[in-house]
Amino acid sequence: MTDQDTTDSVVITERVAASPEAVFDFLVDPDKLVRWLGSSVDIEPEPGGKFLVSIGDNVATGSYVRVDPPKQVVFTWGWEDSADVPPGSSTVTISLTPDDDHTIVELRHAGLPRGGDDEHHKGWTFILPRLAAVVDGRDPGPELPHAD
Amino acid sequence: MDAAARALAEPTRREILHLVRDDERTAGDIAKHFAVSRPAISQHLRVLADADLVAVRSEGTRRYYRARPDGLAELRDWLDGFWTSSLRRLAVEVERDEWDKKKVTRKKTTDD
Repeated sequence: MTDQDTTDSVVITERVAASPEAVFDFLVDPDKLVRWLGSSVDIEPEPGGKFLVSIGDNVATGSYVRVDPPKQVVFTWGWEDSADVPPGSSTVTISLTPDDDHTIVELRHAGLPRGGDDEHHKGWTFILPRLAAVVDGRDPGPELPHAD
Repeated sequence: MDAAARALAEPTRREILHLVRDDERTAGDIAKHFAVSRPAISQHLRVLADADLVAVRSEGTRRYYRARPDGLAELRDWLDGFWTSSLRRLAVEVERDEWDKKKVTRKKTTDD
């Protein structure tokens, strides 16, 4: 982690009542992925394959780095129209660990621009589209899933 | 956070933030970049300031606006929230499918 001082990461975990295999399907099957991430997806889940998710009227893109069923998926992530944080500039790692009859899902979004100092402007352009998406597009909601 | 999201929903305000992210500017200077009226720009600046996205500094009668780096921490919190709610959705959707599978299995068992 040579860039630890200049980048930031977000780590979220969630425990799911299902096997890692069942959860993994939701990471690599586009029809299932779109049920929990963004409003439309276009993915080729294999190393080098594209990752594209529309969130509101913004598009997050990158490419797959690693697809290791049923343990881990790694893809790069950035915003299509961002000069400072182009597609592929940050990395999302989703790891699945069995826990009895449940699965622990850990999502790590690394390489995010760190706030403050002269680097702060990078953060602005990176995160502003997301915020805009909240209001312009489909808000995933604070806690609850969509009632379709 | 809601105030920031609401403030950023408006394209002109996003443009204004972009203008003041590196340089301090007066409302008059900012207004030159837009076709809308000066009072409209002042109104937008007020919304951005209320959402803590811009800082205001007074010098004599002039007021200077600049994007607040502190606001970034709140924006990062939003990203945190985005992934948290997305993963929550993931759990709910996976478990819904598992539940449906179990129902089918149970029904089959009952039918047999």
